[in-house]
Amino acid sequence: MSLLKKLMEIDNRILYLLMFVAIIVPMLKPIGLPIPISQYTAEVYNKIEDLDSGSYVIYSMELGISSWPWAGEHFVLTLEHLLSRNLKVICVSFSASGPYLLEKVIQNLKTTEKVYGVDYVNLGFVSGGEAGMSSFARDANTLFTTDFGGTPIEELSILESFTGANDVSLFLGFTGGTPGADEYIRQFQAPYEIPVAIGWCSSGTIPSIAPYIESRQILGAVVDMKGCAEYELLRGKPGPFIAGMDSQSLVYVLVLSVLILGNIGFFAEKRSEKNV
Amino acid sequence: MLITAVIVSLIVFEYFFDVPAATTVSENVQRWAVVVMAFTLGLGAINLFQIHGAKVLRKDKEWYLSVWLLFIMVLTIVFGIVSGPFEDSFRFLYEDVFMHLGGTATALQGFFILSAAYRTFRARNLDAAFLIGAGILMCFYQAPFGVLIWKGFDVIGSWLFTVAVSSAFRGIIIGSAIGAMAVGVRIVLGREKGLAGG
Amino acid sequence: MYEEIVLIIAAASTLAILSYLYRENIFYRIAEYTMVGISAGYLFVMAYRNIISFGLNSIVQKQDYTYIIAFILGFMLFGIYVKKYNWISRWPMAFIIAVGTGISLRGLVISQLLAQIKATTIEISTPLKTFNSVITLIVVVCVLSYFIFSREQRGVLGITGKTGRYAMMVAFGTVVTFMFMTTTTVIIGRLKVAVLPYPAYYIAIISLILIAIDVIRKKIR
Repeated sequence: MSLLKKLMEIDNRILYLLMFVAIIVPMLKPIGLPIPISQYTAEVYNKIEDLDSGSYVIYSMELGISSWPWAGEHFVLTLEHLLSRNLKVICVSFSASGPYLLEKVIQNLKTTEKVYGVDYVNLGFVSGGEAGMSSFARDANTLFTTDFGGTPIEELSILESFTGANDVSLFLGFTGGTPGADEYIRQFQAPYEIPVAIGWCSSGTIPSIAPYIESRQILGAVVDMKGCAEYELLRGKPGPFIAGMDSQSLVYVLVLSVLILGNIGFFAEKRSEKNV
Repeated sequence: MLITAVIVSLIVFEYFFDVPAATTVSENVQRWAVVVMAFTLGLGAINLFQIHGAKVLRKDKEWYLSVWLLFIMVLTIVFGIVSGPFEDSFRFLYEDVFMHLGGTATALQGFFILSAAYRTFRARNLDAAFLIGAGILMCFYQAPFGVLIWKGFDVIGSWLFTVAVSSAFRGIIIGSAIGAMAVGVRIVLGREKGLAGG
Repeated sequence: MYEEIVLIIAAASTLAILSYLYRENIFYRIAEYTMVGISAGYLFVMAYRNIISFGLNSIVQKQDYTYIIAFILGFMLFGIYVKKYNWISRWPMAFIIAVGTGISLRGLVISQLLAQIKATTIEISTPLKTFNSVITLIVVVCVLSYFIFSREQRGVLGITGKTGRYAMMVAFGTVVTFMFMTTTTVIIGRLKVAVLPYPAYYIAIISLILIAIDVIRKKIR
């Protein structure tokens, strides 16, 4: 029983250290576990593949610069995918922290054939929350006077025939919570019937987005690292996210261990109290 | 309250009925909101000046940290406005310092959830048992090793997520939508006195 | 040289925040205050740019003088900082709340209420789809019945309310588990960018040495 008691009272710092070990070990020695492709990620990928050349896509980034180290490569991969399909990408952000991340994504584009202002543009941040979204959807070309870099709208040919949501074939949102799926559906999908997909969302938010996907209000979602790994597989460009899934597995082994251990100890303690 | 009631009614009315005058007014109101809400973003910085400025003047505990905070905030504002957000000076502060701080702060929460899972997630009653049971099943569903152990984890986990979990959240979504509509009606009728300091 | 300095700063920032896992310390406090200061400064810069871009430019370039009302409302917000003129800020606050409420309300009816109710109906096709739609309907009704507080949860309402509660526990258990994926993703990103590359790992080594010294000191005491 004393061993069980010791296992029940492990210092938090030992747990944190175990978590670090679970993450670092596969980075140094990859395991190479298989990754099945989920329906949610496949829907996003297939929708982009099905769009006609020259269609307008809104690339809405609500995440901040802090997301760059862990998801930046996926944002670049997705933007490159859109551009490879000859789509016109309008990057915008309804969260104050978004436009700077958009700039970083654009700076890291590996494609050299596409031209800023012709094939893609970063309009920057629209304040006002849903009021901003509504104004943007109604008439984006009169809302803005410049892009995020200060270039007058008149000098950006991509916006010549773009008026707002009525011209959009896909709304691709990258969200960590708010603004997120609820707002996209209220301001873009419901009034204008634009297809909405989630280009990236954190794992904690996907259970609340799932009802919208099941009701087909949202086409699909790329969920955190697993979704990014699946997207890499679909694009045929294996990268850091596939490698990271091994760490994911070990972390879940650790989580399972603590859940099961904690409850074994709890029930053993309860039984010994009953016996007393 | 009158302003709130009128504006809410106008915006909702304009959405469902095609009246040109209402549409024009509603569009203008929404455009003004974009500018007014931009002002609110700056309020946080001013608030920090008030709080930490007072700490410095009173020489409270760790007042030197407040000096540092105000200094770094003013530096960020000056670089951002005077030289612009694309210059190296602003980039250094935002990309080379803040990016790492903000990201790591997000990472901390996972560690705390792990220690919470260890210490407090006990199957004391049926509710907790459901929570922990679902958590354990989802671990097998999410991690690649789960499929290696038994293919059924993928099938059961997928079903649980797309049917049971999404249905529960659907109930929460519908419930919160009804609640939000009730609050909206109260605002229009002027009965929601808690807003705007009323 | 510049890249190396940046990497060292990145490592120091990352490890300063992570040092909180060991115990609260001055490095963490400095990092925390730095983060808050830069974040507030950044928001101020974004506010300034948006006011100029959407507000001032619209007045100057498009001669849309109705934006003057937006500026008046915006400046009235600053009344919140002066106790005597606090009441002035209520007008723009009422305006903001009204616009936000109105805009979200109108989309809510179709997107969150009607569409979700429509998706909850029983679909009679393959046995699995029919079964799933029946389960969906039962769970949604039970979860909604849990939130009926105007009647005592007894009898049929008691059973459905309890079932709804169990369904929500399953959902929240899923959320908690899923959050670990985000943590793993973030930590991997941090380690790859700010701790493992040269010369950032020197900072990690120094941090580990400092922690070891602290542990030994405590054991000696």
